[in-house]
Amino acid sequence: MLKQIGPYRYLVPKDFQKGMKIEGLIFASDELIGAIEHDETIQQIANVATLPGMVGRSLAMPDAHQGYGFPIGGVAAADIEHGVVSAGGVGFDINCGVRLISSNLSLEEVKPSLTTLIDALFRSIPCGTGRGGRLTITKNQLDEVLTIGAEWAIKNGYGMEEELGHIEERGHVADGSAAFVSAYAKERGLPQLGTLGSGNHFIEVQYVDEIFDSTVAEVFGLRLGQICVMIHSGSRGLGHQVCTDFLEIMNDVMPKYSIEVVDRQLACVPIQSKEGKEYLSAMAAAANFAFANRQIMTHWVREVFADVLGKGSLTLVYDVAHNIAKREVHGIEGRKREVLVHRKGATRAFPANTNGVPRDYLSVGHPVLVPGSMGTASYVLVGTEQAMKETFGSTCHGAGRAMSRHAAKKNESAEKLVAELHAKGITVRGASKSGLVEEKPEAYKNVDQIVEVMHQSGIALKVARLLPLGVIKG
Amino acid sequence: MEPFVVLEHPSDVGIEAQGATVEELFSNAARGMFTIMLGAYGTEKCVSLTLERNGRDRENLLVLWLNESLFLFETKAFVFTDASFDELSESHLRATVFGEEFQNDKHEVQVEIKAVTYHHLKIEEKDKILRAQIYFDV
Repeated sequence: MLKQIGPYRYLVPKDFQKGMKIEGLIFASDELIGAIEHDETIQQIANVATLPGMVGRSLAMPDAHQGYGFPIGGVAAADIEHGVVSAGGVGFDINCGVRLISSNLSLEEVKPSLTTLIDALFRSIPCGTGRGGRLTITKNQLDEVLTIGAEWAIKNGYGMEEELGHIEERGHVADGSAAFVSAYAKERGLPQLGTLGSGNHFIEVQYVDEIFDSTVAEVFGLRLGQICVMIHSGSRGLGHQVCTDFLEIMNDVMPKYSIEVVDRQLACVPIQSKEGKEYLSAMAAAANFAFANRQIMTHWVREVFADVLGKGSLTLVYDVAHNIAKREVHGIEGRKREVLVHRKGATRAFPANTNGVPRDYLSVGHPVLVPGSMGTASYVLVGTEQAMKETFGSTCHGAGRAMSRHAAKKNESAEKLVAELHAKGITVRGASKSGLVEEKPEAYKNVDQIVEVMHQSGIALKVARLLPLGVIKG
Repeated sequence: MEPFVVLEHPSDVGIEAQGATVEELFSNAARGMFTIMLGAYGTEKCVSLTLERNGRDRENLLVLWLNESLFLFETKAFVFTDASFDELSESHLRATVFGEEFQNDKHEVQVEIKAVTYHHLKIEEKDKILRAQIYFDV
């Protein structure tokens, strides 16, 4: 049923499934399309295309794999007046995202202290499925975090004011309000501000090993051999609970709006409905929690670098969300329309001179951060006009799982994995042995291939590649 | 009869739970979910908590039940071992859950479950045995 319509582009036609209102489009290479066909990704792309008010195409990036309702690596936009918002289309980990911090330190300066540095990061930043972080905040403070996001962290001494300009939405999604975040969600979130979490979340010390576009890299402040730190984390239990709560609310009220979905995980409501507005407010609040969370951890990373190395300064390059729904204006069938873009495991990739790109990056487009799996490369890309035409200004978000957790654990031990990575010059510390093994590099698709598809298709262009030196995993 | 088996897929983790009664099915499903999180664990009943939920149907009630147990795990360090149901109809449940307190020297979190999903969710009855298939976002 898939029809290749151009290099790296596979169309899912409307007759693939009854009820599809728009076509589906997958970005993939010959190698990657096989894995995408292997699971339910294509079915899920088609399911998304059946939702009311969807415009353009139901998209999947080359790292796409089967998710819950929406595929992971999926992008879909709904007309702001007539379309729907789906809690499952954002996912449980609202504003799961990545930030990249550059330094004025070189590989040679850091390498001798690397193990000490990684050990200190592991001690300093709470990770794993613990209940307690190192931060104690009141309920009122939590409400403020939900309203102003990363700015709360800055106001409380975790970073500098100018850093806000290097965070998507300045670290503060408007309309975020504690009012529609349930008591359950707040109770889960209260002790978890300033915690990394577990699963695929990590903090990695990396170095820039290749520059593909020196002009753009210079604007981003990246240079060969430079030490950087990447943080991958989200809104923790607070965001998970917001999604859980609104899945129930949406499933409860769908009949009122005469909406039927092919999968309950796709539960949705009109954007302009009471429940739609309340979800978007709660989602924004959870997104703000995540921005503050990554900002606080950045401050602790700075403290560790100062303690261990006694020198160097760390600069925030950028912070991007890859699970979020955003109100944006895009050209659709020749006219500008306001839409709600659901990005579920996909990264915004806006080019130069586009509304929403920070002033410092307006001449080139904002940085797109694509983490690899443990022990493999991560990339910095930049968006293009082509992305605005074809993908609502979106690109891939990472490597994408290729092996089940159970399969990853077979014939593998944490000790063996740590030794193998050590032999490659990578120091690893993990809160859970079993969690570590599940995240082994072979359990994921090849990030190099995924990024190459985005680059060759002209959606997001390679700027720099970073290789890992040390990683802490939850 | 196995109380539950773990279902695996590259991007999913789930369980198929079984029970001769709905009560047994719900208990086994909770035990299965905690086993995914913690591996094999104990049977102590030193903590008890009550919970009550209304649902749209039995499948919805199962999701609510498991999400509630997950909430108790995250906020009260509660590890489920058993349950006693005062009521478990198609749309309402009231139960006392028993369990042990999560302790770092006794338990290790192997997998963090973010939420219970509706992905391929089903409850079926065959040969007088109830079977439920549930997937989790991890």
